[in-house]
Amino acid sequence: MTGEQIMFYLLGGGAVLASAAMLLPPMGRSPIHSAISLIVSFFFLAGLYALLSAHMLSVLQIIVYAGAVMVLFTFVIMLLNLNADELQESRITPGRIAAGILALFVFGKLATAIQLTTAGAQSVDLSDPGFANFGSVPEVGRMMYTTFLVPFELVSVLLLVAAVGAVVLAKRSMKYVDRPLPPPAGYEHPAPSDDEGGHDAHAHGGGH
Amino acid sequence: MLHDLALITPQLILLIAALFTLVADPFLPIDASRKFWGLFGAGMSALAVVACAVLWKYGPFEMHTPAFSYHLSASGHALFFTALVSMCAMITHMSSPEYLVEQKSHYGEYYALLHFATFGMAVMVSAESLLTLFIGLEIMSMSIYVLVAFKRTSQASVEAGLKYFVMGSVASAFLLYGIAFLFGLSGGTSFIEIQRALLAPKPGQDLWLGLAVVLTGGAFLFKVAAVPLHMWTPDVYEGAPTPITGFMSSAVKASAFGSFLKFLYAGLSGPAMASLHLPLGQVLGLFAVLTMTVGNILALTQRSIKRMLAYSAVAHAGYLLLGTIATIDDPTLGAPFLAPTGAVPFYLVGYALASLAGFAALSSLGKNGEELTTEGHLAGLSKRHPIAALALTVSVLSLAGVPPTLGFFGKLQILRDVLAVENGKYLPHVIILVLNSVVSAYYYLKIPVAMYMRPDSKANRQYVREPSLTWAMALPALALLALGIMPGRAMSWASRSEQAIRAGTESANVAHSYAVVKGGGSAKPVAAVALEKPVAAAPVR
Amino acid sequence: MTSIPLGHILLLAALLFGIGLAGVLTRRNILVMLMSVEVMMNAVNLTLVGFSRYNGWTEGHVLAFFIIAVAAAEAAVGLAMVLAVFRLKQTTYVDELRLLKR
Repeated sequence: MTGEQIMFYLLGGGAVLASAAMLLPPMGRSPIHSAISLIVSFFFLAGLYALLSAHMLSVLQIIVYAGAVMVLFTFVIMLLNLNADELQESRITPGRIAAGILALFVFGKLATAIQLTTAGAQSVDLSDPGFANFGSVPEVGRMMYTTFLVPFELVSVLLLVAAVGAVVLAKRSMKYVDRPLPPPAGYEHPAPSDDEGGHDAHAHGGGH
Repeated sequence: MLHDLALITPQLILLIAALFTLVADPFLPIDASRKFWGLFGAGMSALAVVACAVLWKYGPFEMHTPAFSYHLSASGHALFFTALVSMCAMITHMSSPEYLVEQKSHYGEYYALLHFATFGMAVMVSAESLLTLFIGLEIMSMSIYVLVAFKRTSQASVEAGLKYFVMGSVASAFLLYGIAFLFGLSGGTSFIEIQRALLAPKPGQDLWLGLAVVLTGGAFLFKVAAVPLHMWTPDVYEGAPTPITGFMSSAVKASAFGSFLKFLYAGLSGPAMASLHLPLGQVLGLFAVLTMTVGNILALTQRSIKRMLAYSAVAHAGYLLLGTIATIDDPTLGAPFLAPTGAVPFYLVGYALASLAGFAALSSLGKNGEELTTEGHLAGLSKRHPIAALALTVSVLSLAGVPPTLGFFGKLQILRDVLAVENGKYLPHVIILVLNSVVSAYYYLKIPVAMYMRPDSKANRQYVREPSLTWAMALPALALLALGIMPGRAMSWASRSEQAIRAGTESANVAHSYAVVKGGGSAKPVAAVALEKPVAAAPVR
Repeated sequence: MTSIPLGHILLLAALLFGIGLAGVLTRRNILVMLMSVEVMMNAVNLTLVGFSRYNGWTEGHVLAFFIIAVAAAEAAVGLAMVLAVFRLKQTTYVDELRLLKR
């Protein structure tokens, strides 16, 4: 076994263990521990990417996933301040067993297909001068801004949509100004339910 | 570059509309915002339709040339579906303002998100690569998730949004995994690259391809609400704001089917696919039969009209899946195609118009944060709001496939095409479809019966009658009747849209011999070939 | 050349995908379900990186970059959705939600 292989199995095993720990007790019992296991798993994956010569991706994995996405997750978990009572998962149910079997089945199918199709696959030689820049920032960046310019621009729209959507959904009080008409005769207003804050300076729910 | 930008004018119009709404909304006084954004949105969507029409008629460009390094194109297929979803957006914009004000959820972001969703759909149906298709799909889905949950104080709405979101992101992950396998086969994600890779088979390719088709197909089946993956439909359709339900059942379904057709046609054709022995037609047929039967049976038992129409949407997904077979029957996949009659796009026009009219009419029922959309609430509607009653009646007649409406011709076209496949190989499926239509007539006709025959009740007197909302239900209903009387034009548009993919696919196969490599730099030979083929194949413009 | 077999990279990715899927299907906490979806997305990225490494395609890295961006967007919207539900129901468990139970 070469050093490369040993590293691969170590990192891969780590990623699998950390992801599994996210779901299983004792770590998986509370969301915050799950999140931490997931961060660990992302670090292992970043190591795997580096091992597979995806240098830029490896850095992105740490910056974006471990640095931004998971911070968001932990932030929300802390914000919700889930108490111990809510952290109890209920017990094993037939539905869950069925779901687990389904996931296993999907994995089994994938594994068989992969074994059958990748036997004897030969990789390219990255020491070839043609691959000198493989996976480097300039190479990936060049491709991103030339061949993949359109998807790149589209992803910026996607991120904008996500930002707008998140603001719309999560804003605490979008003060709603009701239509200034009297209710029809015989109609009772439902209990006012909209904005608990009520003293939002912005009368209208723009993204401030 | 400008040349290329002109090809995506409709998309650009939608994007500009979205950005303008987002930026300008905080500066508008509330009353003006309530009046203005619906009209503005409808106007911009209509402008996008016009842009599609201009490109369709005068497109000086090679109609099948992928622009932007094989990421987008303005093929007839893309234009047809972009126009269709923009038209759906137009009606939705018109039906939204009053509903939102009554439900106390009128915020400007709604219109921006609606534009974004339409933009995402337009990108999705014009995509020439799986990556662009996926990103378009995500833009659409993200906007729709938020729009479903837009009534933030309504538990049903927010939970529906969450449910749709969780299931949708799992579907996205499956789609991505499938795309990853197709990438592993071909080294690219554009349909042309995938096709080219399929022309030069690799060992073990069959299994890869099968896997990729199953994974991606599953995601598409989720989006169109086909049966094992339809569980989200009733809850989401019921919880969402009614205009959004109409938008989902028309535009989301249309764009999902549009890109699915394109993916099957343009991406997965070729000798390799034909030799795959994946009984794609039979698998789709099984799903189609299951979907229509389960959808119709469950629809029979519903009291809430929104829920009933949700199950009817599931059933219609089944009819459409059956229509898909007609265009991509398995042994001929890759080998000579059947004559593209455009059954699916044509059916989608009728279905989208009917859904829009129906849900616009339902949007007018209910006031002050209440929705009055059970069967009992419809009693005597013909006296209170005759236009809504009439629009809803036309809508359900079209959904049921009753002759003078467009829905009848859509179903007829699907039946005819499916029967034409290999001398009635799918005859049992067709019989099941007919039986299903008969069953569905029962629950559809309950609605007009309630509206016209049952006495009005005092409790039901809450409804909205505003000009824009009235037009929003009247226009699609009128279109259903007008196109039902003269279906020829719409039929020729639809068949041309399918011909466009076919021509693009053939030109890609020819282009193979030119040994075009990846990237935009050497796209010329393909363009040259693409120019000749489709012009020969194109019908009268 | 690399001494890591392609099959093993893909198997590892498939295993991660399966773990993520199992998480979505079996866990009932929405936050953990969202995390599981992230694991599935990562499995896809690993698949892409593996294919790229074996064939020398930088495109795979760009695709993976886009998937990271999409995953980030999904996380933002998903967490906002969780907040919106939590505000109404004070829970992050799907069992306690009316609709998701069915």
